[in-house]
Amino acid sequence: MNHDEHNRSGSLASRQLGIAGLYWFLASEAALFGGLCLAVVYLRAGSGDWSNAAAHLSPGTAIVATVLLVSAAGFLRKGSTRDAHGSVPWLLGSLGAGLGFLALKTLDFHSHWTEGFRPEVSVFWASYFLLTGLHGLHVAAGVIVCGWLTGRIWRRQAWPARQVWVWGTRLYWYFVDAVWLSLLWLFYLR
Amino acid sequence: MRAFLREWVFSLDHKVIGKQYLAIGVAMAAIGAFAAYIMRWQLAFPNVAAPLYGLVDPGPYNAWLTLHGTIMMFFVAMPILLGAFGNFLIPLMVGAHDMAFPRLNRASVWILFVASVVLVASLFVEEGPAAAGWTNYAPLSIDPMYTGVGIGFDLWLVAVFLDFVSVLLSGLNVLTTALNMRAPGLSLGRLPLFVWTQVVAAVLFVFSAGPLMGAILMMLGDRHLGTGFFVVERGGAPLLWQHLFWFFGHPEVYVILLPALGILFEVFATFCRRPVAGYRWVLGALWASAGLSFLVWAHHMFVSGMSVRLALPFSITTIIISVPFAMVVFALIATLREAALERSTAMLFALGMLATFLVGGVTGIFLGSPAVDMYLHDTYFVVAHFHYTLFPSVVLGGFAGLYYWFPKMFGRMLDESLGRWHFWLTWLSFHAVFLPLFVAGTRGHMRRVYDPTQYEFLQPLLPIHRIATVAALVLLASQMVVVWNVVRTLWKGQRAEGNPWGGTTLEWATPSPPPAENFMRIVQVTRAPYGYEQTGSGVQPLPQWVERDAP
Repeated sequence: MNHDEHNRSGSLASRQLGIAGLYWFLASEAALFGGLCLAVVYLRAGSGDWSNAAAHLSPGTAIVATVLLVSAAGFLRKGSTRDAHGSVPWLLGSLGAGLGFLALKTLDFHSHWTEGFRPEVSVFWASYFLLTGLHGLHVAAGVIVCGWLTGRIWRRQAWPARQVWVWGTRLYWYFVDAVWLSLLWLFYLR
Repeated sequence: MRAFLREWVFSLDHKVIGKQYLAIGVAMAAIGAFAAYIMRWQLAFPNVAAPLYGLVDPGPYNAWLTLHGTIMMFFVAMPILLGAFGNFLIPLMVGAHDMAFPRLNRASVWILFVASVVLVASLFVEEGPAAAGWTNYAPLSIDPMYTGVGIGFDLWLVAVFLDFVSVLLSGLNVLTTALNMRAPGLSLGRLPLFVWTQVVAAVLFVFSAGPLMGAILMMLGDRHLGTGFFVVERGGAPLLWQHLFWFFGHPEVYVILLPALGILFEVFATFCRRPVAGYRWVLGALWASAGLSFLVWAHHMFVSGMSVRLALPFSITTIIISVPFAMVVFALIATLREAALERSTAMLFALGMLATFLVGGVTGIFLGSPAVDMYLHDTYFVVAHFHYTLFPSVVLGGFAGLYYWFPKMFGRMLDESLGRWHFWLTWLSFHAVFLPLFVAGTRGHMRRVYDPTQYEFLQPLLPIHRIATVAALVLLASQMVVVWNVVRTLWKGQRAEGNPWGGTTLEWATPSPPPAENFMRIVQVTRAPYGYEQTGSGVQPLPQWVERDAP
């Protein structure tokens, strides 16, 4: 593939193709979450006791969760400007923050569940669990990628595509944070 | 065995993957065609056992009509037009060795295969496959008490979800390859229109699939987690499913149409021996129609019970969207002007598609008027309309592409005489099936009814069904001609040269079939596509490329 990398009109090196593809992938994800958010707005317009249900959400949990997610993005930002060796602590930081978010949300779900607030109770809870659950799956995917990245860099093999991968993970995390902020607006702001 | 696995199952070559998409599409088309046969038999000879099947009961009839639509839209149209032709041709047309992400490409076709297996598996579950129409509206589809269907619908939901994942991943590949891997000299303004239509189609799918994928998750929740997204008693809204479905559903039909139009542009340019008229206008029209396609969806819902105030704006956008498509049609017609027309089967199918699609497109305008749609919605008029748009796109356009690119894909020339038989039998029988259905629709014949004769006012329309069914049997049987043509050609057909048709785009710069890496030397693009010049020995192509040796 070597001679593809020079002198091509509108052509990118193979590493950068991944970033182009990532942008399109995030566009499709934006359509997925966007569609779901609009669906929730539609259901909310037809729902009588949305605010009452939303009162059972814990703002404190939301604040801590937001801090964790934004920190993870911040750590990735720091990590992307370091060299291979220096980026590892920051990647681990993101990994930790992401895991912290997942742990927090799991506890949060559990407490809702034991209080009897389950998806089948009302359309508010159905929407809440579906969207935050789907978002959580995306955070989990991001955590896994962070872990994989850390492992690969740690093994100290020369890896030319490292910077692009870290940059891509950072972009993905910004997207995950943007979705989270949308969910905050959708469910926590009454 | 290991060689088979390595070369076929695990191949990363976009050309092999493209053929795998073609194989899946054709196999699923056979099942979809069988479904059509069952439906047409029952409609023409109600409650008479169908040969090779038996008596068609109401429940199974609904299942077959659901499967027919689902398979044709998601497992035939997209795999063939996007997966097969897109994958095979895009790297060749932009001068690349392969798609941007070969492993993602392989994963896409595997996921499609799994999705197909899941859908076919639903045929064998106890309560049968999904049976609420390919649109599977809530609440009809949610609760087994309406259709009797159980896990069959869950399998449908999973199969469609996986299909969408496959097309999405494939779309990422198409967009990255077409926009970021072009050969030196191949500016966007010199890109073949086929590639542009694939790009626009991929963008359409990227932005439209999400809402329906979300809806599928919500539907699964309603069926298994007790949620009530679409169930009134649990605080939900059945209409929400329709909104989410059609927000995707309308761009989807352009995802299917555009690549077919792309095939037309290529075939027209080559066999008219002249550039496509109005390249830039066509490009603008493609993007305009893409944008507008997100603003028309509720024209499928005029009589759904949604707010009647929505009827006017959606009617307006629907009328407006006919403009860019009219421009595309005019560009194709204008391309026929001052054309040094070469006859070929591919050109026959292309002309057939244009003429047929025109009827389909125009009849859509009637449906875009709420006042008229009130009478025609859910009648056979709609069925005829969408077959007059989808059949030309998938079948006529698909065959135009097959006859045109068969030499490139398989290295041999299909028999042109058999091709002409195939075209006329297919095209004429198609009209005999669907033209009468417009009449049935305007006389009030509802769709998705397993035995129309149970209604007195529909009994006089039985002759229409008989004509349509006989014609449908001819249509199905006619496909044996192309099957025979393909088999015989692959076995001992005439070998093809690199550029048998005198094309000007980059795929014709390679041997037929191309070697694994596509281009043996670096290809430099020096001009726009579709250039032809009058010489002493007739109209000759001005290829886009010049080859240069590596420095």
